[in-house]
Amino acid sequence: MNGRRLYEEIGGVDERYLQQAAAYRARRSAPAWRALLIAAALTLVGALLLCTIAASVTIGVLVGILGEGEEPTPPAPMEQMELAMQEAQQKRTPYSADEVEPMLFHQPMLIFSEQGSDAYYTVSLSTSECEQLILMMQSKNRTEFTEQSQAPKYQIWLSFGDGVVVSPYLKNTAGNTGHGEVFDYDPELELGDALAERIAAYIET
Amino acid sequence: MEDKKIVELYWARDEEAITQTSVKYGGMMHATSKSIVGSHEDAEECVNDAYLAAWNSMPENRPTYLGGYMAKIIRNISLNRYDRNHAAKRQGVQVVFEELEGCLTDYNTPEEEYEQGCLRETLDSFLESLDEQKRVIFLRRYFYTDSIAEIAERMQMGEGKVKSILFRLRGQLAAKLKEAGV
Repeated sequence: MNGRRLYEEIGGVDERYLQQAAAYRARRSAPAWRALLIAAALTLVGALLLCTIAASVTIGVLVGILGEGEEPTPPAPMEQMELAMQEAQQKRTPYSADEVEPMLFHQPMLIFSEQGSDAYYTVSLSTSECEQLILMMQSKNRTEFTEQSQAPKYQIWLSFGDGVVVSPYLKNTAGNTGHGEVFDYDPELELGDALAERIAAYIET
Repeated sequence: MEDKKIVELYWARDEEAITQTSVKYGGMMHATSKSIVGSHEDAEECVNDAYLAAWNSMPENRPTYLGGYMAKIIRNISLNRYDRNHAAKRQGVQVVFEELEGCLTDYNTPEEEYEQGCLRETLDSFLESLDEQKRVIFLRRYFYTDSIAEIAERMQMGEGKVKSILFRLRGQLAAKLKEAGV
């Protein structure tokens, strides 16, 4: 019964290591052909972007020359995201938590709900969109949510489609995970502009 | 909710502590238990027992890593349940016991039992010496009792590679234990 004895002893290891082993998920490496495709797509997007910038600059110069007024300032990403959510509330079907929970086992999706409301709205995502959000959520540049931070108007969750639900407002640990349910939470991290912008884009499309 | 806040709820004897533990760690606890006891129903009962055990133990203890603390509780409770249910069939955690069988010599005498105290220390130093990836693989197999396929999926590597890493880790552990005279 040595195996059993050793197994029991392993039960006493440092809890720090157990937490680490519970949270660990290796990043999926994309195959080489996918990397090539992504590089080609990025080159194309880059070229288009350059053309757009060149056109905008030309138009801007012309507008400036002709003295035609100033461009309106675009909303900040957080505002943009909240506006997108506000609009989506008008267009999309509201669900209760009980109705949302079975959906968590079907496909990746973004879920949001206005603070204090019982209505939940869902936005279907592809696996790669879901992965993109996860990668952005892991950014080390995200800042802590403090008392000075502006309280978010919406709660947001990301469902992987297999019953696992996380919130981009929470730190990236295995603990910050709901299993088969949307859950209440206090924000721990600021979303950051890039993440807010991406979420807005997924809601708008 | 952060671990610290949940632990504070336990200390304040607020039942919300159990709800929050369930939200945060319920899935992990159920999976760990099921890999030991083998049935969904038994795992469900073990998880409920674990909440009760945490509730009863918390005024004395203040764990820093609540996830690790709950993982230890659920593992112990599930092992006891496994003993009660023990089927003759070779399955689940029994396979893990067999894998670890060769790493340790027999303890028969009180003197040898005394040496067991060194075992925990040697295990800690063994885990400390591993890089993160290998440590995770070792603990996923021998603490959380994950299957090889589950570890391969988590680590994004082939099952063969996981098996060979585990084989080498068992060899290293056996050597370390021998060197420590355990």
